[in-house]
Order: sequence, then structure tokens, then C-alpha cells
Amino acid sequence: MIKAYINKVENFLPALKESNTDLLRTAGLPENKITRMIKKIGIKSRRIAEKNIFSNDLAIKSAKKILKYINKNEIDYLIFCSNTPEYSLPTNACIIQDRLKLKTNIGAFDIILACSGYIYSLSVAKSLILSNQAKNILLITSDTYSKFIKKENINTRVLFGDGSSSTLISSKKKLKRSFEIENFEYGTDGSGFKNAVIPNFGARNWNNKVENGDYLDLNGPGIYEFALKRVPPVVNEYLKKNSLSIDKIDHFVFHQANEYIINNIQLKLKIPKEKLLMNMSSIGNTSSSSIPIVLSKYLDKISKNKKILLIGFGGGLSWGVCLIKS
Amino acid sequence: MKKIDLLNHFAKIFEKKSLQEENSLKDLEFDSLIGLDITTFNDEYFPDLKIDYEKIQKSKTIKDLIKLYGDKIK
Repeated sequence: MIKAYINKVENFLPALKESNTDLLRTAGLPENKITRMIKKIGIKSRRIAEKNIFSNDLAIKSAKKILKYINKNEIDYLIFCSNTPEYSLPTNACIIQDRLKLKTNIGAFDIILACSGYIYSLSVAKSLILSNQAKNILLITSDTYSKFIKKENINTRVLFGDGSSSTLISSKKKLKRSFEIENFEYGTDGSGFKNAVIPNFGARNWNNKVENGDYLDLNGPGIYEFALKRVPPVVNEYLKKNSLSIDKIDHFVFHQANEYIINNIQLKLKIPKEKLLMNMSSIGNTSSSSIPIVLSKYLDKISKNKKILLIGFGGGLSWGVCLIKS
Repeated sequence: MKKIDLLNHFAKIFEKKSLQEENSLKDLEFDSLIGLDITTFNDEYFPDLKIDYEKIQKSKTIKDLIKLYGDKIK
């Protein structure tokens, strides 16, 4: 029986750091409010792509780290997930295929999803493996949200960082630490699409631009409300369907939106805090890259026969859950 | 929930010893983080009550906030 494995996860973060304390001081916030805000969101600084660096550039950097573990000619599918792509036309995965000099007889396409993107991309990758259409898939996530958030918009700016991840998904275990991709559970509610939108970033307003529509319009509390209502039930549903329970899961990796959201979801689900894997304090919310960036930090340290639940949620509104097993 | 209990919960959220209905949210330095705490409180104590954040944001006083809970507050 064919199975799909995560064999390696790598990330790339741009070198430029933006300190939240500095940003909030520049905006004129008093020190007590700055301390309170940073403590609540759990994000001290974030990485920012320089002016001429875009999501494809970050993607190439993280992908090259993966190509140290596999001959590039063995990659037979490329999936690129981004919500801040360099181009709407052509497909960015095609550009990345060429820049990485991957062979041309492979499939390549983009997935446009935000913070749930890694879960959905994993599900597509697994399907391609299980249907015998691919053996080694390079899955790249990459975003540069900083280009779509003005520095004056401090409430949103403090949350998002730029970054990329690359994951090698294969039909065979290739390295010492491989993780089998298990089942999925999904959720979608487009009625809340206005909670996270860049109004001018698409055909609808292209010839009739909305004022300030070149930038991310984020209703943070709206997303929080959605996460609090939707995420705990979908986790419970997943566990029930797969005859699991919170105590049978070794680690939980939530989309790294901010600590406030994750802590409140964790409390609602009664997950012991030590089971959470986190990595956002100096990175911020990197959208679909946030879960794989956590994985890249911890996977090599996780022993055999461990179950890790991955939970993505955000713009769309969209959410998804997946289990991986060492 | 009794109004006095709701006021006590709000006092904790706004980090004040006590609150009066006529207190203005601006004077209490209402911001999005306090808004999130109110959403968390609503989710815990009034899970079936749908109070949009927009309505919380539009409230000018504690009295306006209390009104959002309708007959759930005695």
C-alpha cells in the first residue's frame, strides 16, 4: 500500500528584522501599552523581505535547502502555496521550476490559500502520491505580507512576518526522521471573506481601485472570533473520527497567528501547554509557512511513534486539520 | 448574569478596581486587545449569544456594552 511521508522540512527567513517595540514606539504608544501588547501577542520581532525581494525569491532559498537532501531530478511535482504571490499570471510554480532548474516533465501549480494553506497543500500532495502520479513532491509555501501592510497600520503590522518553507513529501521514507501523513478534516466559510482581504489584489478592482485597497484589510478580532468558534470543534471532530483523544496526541502545531489566539484555543480544548510546539516570538505570523516553520525547528528532535496534530486556520475563512506520525 | 457581575468582569478586563455604566470606553483606553478579551469573555459565558466585534467597537460607554447582552443581563 502506498503511503505519503514528510521527509524533510526547511525554512528561509529574510535577514532584516523589524522590532515590534521600535515600531510601536515610533507610532507613539506609551511604554505600558507596548509591553502589554507584545506580551499578549507573543511576537517581539519579525523578518521583513527587502524592497526587491518577493515570495518567489524566498521560495527559491528554502527550496535549495531541501535540494541538499534529494537529487533535483527526482522531484516530479512542485506545489507552491502563497497568498502574496509575485505574479497572478503566470503561475509562480512554473517560474520556480525554472529558477531551481528542476526537470521539465513534472507537474507544477499554485495554491492560493492563507493560514490553512499548508494543510490543504499537504492533502493535495498526499493525493498525488497515493494516486501514483508523483513520488517526490516539493511543496513550497512563501509569503511577503509586509509589502501589503503599511507601517502606520501597527495593529496588523506587529503580527505578520515574511518567510518561506519547503517540504519534501515522498512515497518512501528517505531520512532517519520521516512522518507519515495521515487523515484530514477541512472547513470553509466564505461568508467571512472580508475579515482578511487585499481588495485591489485581483481582477475585481483592478480597473477601479479601492482607496487603500492595495493593502491588507484585516479584521483581527473577527478572525479571533472565528478561530475560537471553529477551531476547537474541528479538532474534536477530527479526534472523534479517528478514534483519538487529546491525551493520545503527543504534540499540537497550530497556525502561529499569535500567542493570544493559540493560548485561548488551547484552554478551550484543555490541551496541556507542554504539548504545544511554537515558534513565533522572533518570526511572527508567516501565514501558510507558519506550521512548517515550527516543524522545521522540531521534527528532527521528535522520537519515533509520536503523533503530531497540525491545525491551520485563517483567511477565507478556511481551516483544516491533519495528523502526521513519526 | 446579574449586571453587577458583568460590571465586575468588565472591570477585570479593563484592569480597573470598579466600573460605572457611564464610564466612556475612550477614557478607559479601550483598544483592540481589550476587544479580544471581551470576545473571549463572551465565548466563555455567553457562547450562544452572537455579539459582533463591530458592535463592541461602536460602543461609546460601558452602558452601551451592557446593552449588547439584551435580556441575558438582569
